[in-house]
Amino acid sequence: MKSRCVFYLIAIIAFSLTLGTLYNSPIVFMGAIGGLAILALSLKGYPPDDINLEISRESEEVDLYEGRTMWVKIDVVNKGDHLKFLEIKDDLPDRVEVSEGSNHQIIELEKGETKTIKYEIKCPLRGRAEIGPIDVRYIDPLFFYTRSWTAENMLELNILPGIEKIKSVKIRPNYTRNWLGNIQSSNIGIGTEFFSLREYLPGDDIRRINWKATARNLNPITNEYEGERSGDVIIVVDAMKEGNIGTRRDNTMRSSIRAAASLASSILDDRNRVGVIVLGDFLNWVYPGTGREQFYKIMKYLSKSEKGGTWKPSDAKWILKRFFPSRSMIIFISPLIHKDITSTIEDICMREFDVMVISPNPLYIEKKINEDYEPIAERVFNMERENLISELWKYSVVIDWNPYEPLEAALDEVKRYLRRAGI
Amino acid sequence: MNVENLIASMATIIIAISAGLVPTIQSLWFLPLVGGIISVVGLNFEKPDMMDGGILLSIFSFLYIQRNIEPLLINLILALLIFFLLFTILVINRRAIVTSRIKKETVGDRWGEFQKDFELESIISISYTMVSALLVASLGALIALYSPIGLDLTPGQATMIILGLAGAFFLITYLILDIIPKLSEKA
Repeated sequence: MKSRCVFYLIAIIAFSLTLGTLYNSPIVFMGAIGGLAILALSLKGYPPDDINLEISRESEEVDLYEGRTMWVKIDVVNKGDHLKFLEIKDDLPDRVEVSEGSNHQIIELEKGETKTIKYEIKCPLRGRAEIGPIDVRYIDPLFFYTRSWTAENMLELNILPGIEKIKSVKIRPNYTRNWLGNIQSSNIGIGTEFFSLREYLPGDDIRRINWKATARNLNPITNEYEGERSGDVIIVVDAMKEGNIGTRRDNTMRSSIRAAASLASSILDDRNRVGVIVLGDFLNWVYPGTGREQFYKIMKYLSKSEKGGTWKPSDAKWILKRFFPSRSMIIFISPLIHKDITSTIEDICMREFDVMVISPNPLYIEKKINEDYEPIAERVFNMERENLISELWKYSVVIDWNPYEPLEAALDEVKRYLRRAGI
Repeated sequence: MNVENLIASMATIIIAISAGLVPTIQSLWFLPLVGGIISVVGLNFEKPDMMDGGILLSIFSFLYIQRNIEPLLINLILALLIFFLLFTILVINRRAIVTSRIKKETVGDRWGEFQKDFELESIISISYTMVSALLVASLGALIALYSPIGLDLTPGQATMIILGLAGAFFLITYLILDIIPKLSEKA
């Protein structure tokens, strides 16, 4: 493909010939002569016939946590003729931004030479992103001739929601099941905490014999331990459109998803089963499960979740009743904007679910975005919110959380309050 | 404005002024300067079309205002020199726009790994091509200009001969330039 410069030259030559002939001026012909000379010599930069490039990426699919950085590497091998200048541009989606270097570079490649282009990206938004295709363009030194093509090498990024490590506060369901876990069950079973003593029975492990008690009784006595079990926790995230306050990068849904991911990680670490429902755009959920595989399943599900208006809070009741085990612990993460929230939580509690509400306070997000707000409006909003929260406290534990502060601190505060109140 | 653009703008204005004054001062000497100013505005606002239009205006107006000067050897060489300088500045400014776009997309202090090489290499290549083209054009112009001397020809016939000779000369020059590097590569 010829660039505009070639057409400019042709225009100059035509103009010069016309004007020179009209005025019979040898000087004007210099334009045509000069133009022809440049055109003739520029042909040296015409794209070579044998352009054979092998373009590859270091990886094709990567999981990355929100806000983290990674290096993108592209190897370009020239198996054809020498390429004076090669412009390479890796297409980036709007979820991804360059944090070091550039995704757009011009390189020179000798025959058989390999060059690696690398740049660092940052992913501030969770979700799925595709990097690529790679636009390649040969350009000659005078920018006269170009040849473009596209390399369909894609890099798929699963940008997982960021996680806050919750170490000091343990969230434990009140009702435990028969699977092994970390929760003291107040029953005899497999565990590490001493529970009671009993007479030795044939078949008991010899390591469980309490030798001091045996010496005192002159009969073999065995230790019994408190069984450690696990429970089911279901995290319900309110991702409804009307409750989503903030910008694309900083909003209540982002805070809710981060909280859900952090809680899921912490609860799974305690060997409990965790399931997730997002009340957003799609009718989908993750059934309770345990282990690392479940963690990645939840993270991928959360990373793909989008806000929407298809679901209502009351739909959560139906899903929980139909598809999830009863007497599970429900952690409802919601900014508490939707009018049906109170009745929904009340209904869930009545179905023998143990409910905890974590509410990222939208006012903090709003205040950060918009400094010019009405103090009266803030007071009214706070009053309404306080009323709603006190109403919810009748049925569940409610954590009013400032999304710019660690979730662990908010959980710890409520846990301490519950301990003091003896609840 | 970065240093590169400042230098390119100054060079454009100086060459545009020269185009109105060299080889001889003409009544419409300011026309190439107007083109130069338009081009500088286009360069600094990263508008390639405006930049190209300005330089083309300078070239066309230069050819037009210098149309009546005497066909002396010095005038021919100076006219060719100005023409090449104007066209070289067009190519260099286009390159400057491309590099500044890439620089804008680059994050961090480190200007792209290979871009320093590109900046240097492209300047060398442009200079080499333009100087070679100027030499070829000068030789071609001399041959073309003096070839019809002594012949009793009409202006139209003379033009045809001039073009024919110049064309043949360029073809030979190009073939030589094309074949010599290939032979040296094989050797």
